[in-house]
Amino acid sequence: MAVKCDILGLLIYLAMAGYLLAAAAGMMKLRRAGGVLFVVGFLAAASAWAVRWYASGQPPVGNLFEVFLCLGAVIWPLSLFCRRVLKAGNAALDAFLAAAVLFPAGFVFSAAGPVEPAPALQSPLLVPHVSAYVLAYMILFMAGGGAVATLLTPPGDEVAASSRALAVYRLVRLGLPLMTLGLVLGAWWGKLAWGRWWNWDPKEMWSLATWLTFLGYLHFRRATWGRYRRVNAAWVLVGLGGVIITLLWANLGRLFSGLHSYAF
Amino acid sequence: MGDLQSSLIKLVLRRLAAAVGSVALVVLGGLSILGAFLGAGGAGWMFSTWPAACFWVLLAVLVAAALVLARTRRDGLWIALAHLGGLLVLLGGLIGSDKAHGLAGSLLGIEKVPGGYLAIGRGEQSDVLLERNLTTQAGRLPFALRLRQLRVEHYPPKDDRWVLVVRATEYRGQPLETPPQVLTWEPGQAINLPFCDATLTVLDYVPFSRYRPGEKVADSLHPAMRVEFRRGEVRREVWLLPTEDDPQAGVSVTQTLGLDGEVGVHLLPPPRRVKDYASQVEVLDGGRVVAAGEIRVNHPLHYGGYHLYQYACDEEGGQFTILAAVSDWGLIPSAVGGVLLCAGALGACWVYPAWMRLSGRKSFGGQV
Repeated sequence: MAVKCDILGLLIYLAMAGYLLAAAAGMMKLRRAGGVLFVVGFLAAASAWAVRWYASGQPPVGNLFEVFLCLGAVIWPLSLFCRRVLKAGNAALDAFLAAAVLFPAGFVFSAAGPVEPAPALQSPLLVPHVSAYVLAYMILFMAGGGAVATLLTPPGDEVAASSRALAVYRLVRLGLPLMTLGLVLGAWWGKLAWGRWWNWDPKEMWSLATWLTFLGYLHFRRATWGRYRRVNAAWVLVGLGGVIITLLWANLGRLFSGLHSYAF
Repeated sequence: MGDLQSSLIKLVLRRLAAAVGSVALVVLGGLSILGAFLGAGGAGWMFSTWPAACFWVLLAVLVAAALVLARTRRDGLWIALAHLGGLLVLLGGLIGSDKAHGLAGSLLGIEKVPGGYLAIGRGEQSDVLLERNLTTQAGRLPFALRLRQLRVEHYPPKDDRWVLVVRATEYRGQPLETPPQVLTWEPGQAINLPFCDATLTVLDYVPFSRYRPGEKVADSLHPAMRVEFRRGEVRREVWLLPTEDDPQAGVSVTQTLGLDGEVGVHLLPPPRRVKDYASQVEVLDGGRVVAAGEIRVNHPLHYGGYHLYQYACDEEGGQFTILAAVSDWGLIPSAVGGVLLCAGALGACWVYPAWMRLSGRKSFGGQV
């Protein structure tokens, strides 16, 4: 447990409180209050990220603490875009997800001063590579939430099930190109730093497996004319499991030591 | 009727390709997870075996089939780009593989070592490629590299004070196999020493010392530290004084306190993280210098069909460098494939649906 008592920690906890209250307000159908609290949470999370950036003097995407902070800060604009433009996502669920992804930043990972980057990390590809993945992961987290909602839809409620499955599809279609971009940028960076596009590193393998899972979802959905909604939803949840493993287990687990071990 | 039949056949073929594609993706995903558990070495081996090579070829054929079938789709351009990208990535990977280099040698007589490592001392030259263990020879480059200079930059240490480290190899007749332990110290504070029942107190710390009381020492700018060892009633004071000749100044605690064993305290420079390192090299071809350049992490040098990467170096002394040489076969297909893959994915998932929506067509988001 790494509780933080500085300004950065307070902003993270304020953001988490805002997001949790927004989720609660959303569940109680208090839309306006929920919307305001969601924005409060976002402002606090974005401020925490900015504070971290100011303190470190470099874009805060260099370790897992900073990545989770970033995840917690990007969800509100993403959620807004998805709800307004794609007609996908749910504000209460997204707010809850935001609080959940901020939890590791608030309580698990230390915010100890930024470490000077190793030579391999001093690349202009760091920010676009990590940013693409952060956005992709957050969108796919939202898709995962939608997949759970699809699975929980009572049998017979075809309209709701269809609408939710479609929303999940739109979210995956939004997130997958970003994940592809992150994967390709990572391969390019690997080629420049280590001489190989692909180094068979455990984290690389997990991220490939995750990407293939979502790709498989799109192929399966196309092959079956969009039927088997529950299978599709389960497929997305498997992909979400891949995201979580890539983000956490592949970085923290001693089982998977590799080239990305500096990323925590 | 003929058109309808033809469209129906194409539709069924596309769906069939998508179904087979999803199965292939599941298989590859499963193998990737297995590879993650095997580690980089195991996964690299597994995906380079002949059965895996057959799988890669089959996958490439499948992607090529999808590429052909994509022509009949409304968003076919983007789907085709994505599949062409995937195909080129696979092709680049196959061409650049060790197996392809081996086949080129045995079938076409084109001998090219796929890669290896060069260990070069300062002022020396080498064309010998080594395996990762840096002892077994992997082959020779068609040119040689000479290391003119190695530049190592460090970040300034967070704390300028030198660190106290305890090294123990034996105590009371028992051999010890423990790594050195760093002691956190403050002047005047007694610290319990590990391995022996004694304490250490830093009495003085002089950051830039040239002399110690009563005795002239080497002319240097190293620090000096006066410490007190105490064990029961026994109390000893000693100076820890690193010099140019002995930069890791150490004192034997056991000897000073008259104990049996080998436990020593050393005063070492504060740890510094490497910020960057660069090898300034000359390329020699036919005995002549044909190129010169600097190889840094993320900044390789390209010459004679090889990319040369900074792999490791002598971080403290700057006396040698280790470079990785990688054959550039498959580079262009992989690079173009990556770009097309991204473009195809962006087009199929973002541009096409947006265009459909803006043009008022119904298939936005609902296309199956």
